[in-house]
Amino acid sequence: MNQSEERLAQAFQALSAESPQSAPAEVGLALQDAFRRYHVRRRRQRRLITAGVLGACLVVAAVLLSKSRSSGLQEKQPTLATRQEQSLPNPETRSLGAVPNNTQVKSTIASLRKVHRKARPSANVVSNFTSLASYDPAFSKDGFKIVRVGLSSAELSQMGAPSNVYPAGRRVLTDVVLDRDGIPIAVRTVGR
Amino acid sequence: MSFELRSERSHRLMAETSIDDQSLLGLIARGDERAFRVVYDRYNGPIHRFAWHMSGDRAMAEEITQEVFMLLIRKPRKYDPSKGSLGGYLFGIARNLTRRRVDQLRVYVPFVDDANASDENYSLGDRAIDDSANALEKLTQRELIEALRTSVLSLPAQYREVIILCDLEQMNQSGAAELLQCSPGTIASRMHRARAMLKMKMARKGLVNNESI
Repeated sequence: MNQSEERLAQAFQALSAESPQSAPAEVGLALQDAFRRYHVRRRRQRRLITAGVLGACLVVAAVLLSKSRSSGLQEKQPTLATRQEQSLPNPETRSLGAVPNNTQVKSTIASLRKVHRKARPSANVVSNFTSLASYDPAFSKDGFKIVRVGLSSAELSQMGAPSNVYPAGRRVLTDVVLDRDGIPIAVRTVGR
Repeated sequence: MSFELRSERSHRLMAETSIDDQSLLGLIARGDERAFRVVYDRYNGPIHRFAWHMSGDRAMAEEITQEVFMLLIRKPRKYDPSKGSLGGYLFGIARNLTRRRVDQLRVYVPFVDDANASDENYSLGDRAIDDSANALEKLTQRELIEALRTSVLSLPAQYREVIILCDLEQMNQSGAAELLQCSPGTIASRMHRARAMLKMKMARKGLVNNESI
């Protein structure tokens, strides 16, 4: 090593020794503070995002649940419909307990599962009404009500309607005409 | 890459913690403040010194140090260990930032030998100078250091960074090559040229022997 190199090396050593060993303490403190603030903010954001995702999941689950419920109900329900073609009878007179010889009516009413306000248009073949034994043209004049129900052939025969054309145990869609007292006076099948 | 950390505190911390940089970065990403502190203590000194020697501006060096570590806080996963060491990664950021800043602000070194004018930014204490040395020796030493500092700052950036990394930060040539993304041969040739340029500058100031260059 010649003299100039020696001198240069000596100068490098001195300059290196003169250099600061670390950044000022304020820089370190500021960075530490920045680190803390950044992670607090990040944690808060994460919490918000998690809550948002959780909320969204809950909403989706609720929507799916309500949809599956409603579709389940529709599947369970037979095609029962009530058509109110004439005025509704007086609620007092609708009381079935007050109706004499009401065994047939009771069974008919019990078979009603659900009443639809709107009668759905049906592609089924509709037969003519067949009057039942309870029908008295002298007394029944108005206040009729037609109720669409699903009845078994046994129930139909109980009411006095012809049921031998349908296999036993199978429910037949039937329009039942009820008089003001709720007594079935005529039926017609809406079978295919 | 290996570079010496001259800070005793950094040495102690490195000895104390056997956790490697990659694990520390994982902890930093999860918000572990102590891990950040360890990384900061490991690297702030060399990065700050590098920025200081490169820019010759104390405030800029502090800002650059802060920006480098802010990047580490915000994007710790950005570091890819397959591409090199964390030190090299941080140095790379510091290097880019310093170059950009220096280019933007046109903070260039005064080429005049006015030591007093630059004392504000780069004040040299008397720490390195032996107290027992007489006033004349002190003056000579101070003059030498100041002349070297201004000479280093007046070097083109590519030579300056080699001198800073290898001669001032005592990084080995392969480490510097990895950091500066060039071959060790390039580093060696740059260093040779840079030293020659420095000697010339120092000789012009009469601080090294002209004949021995």
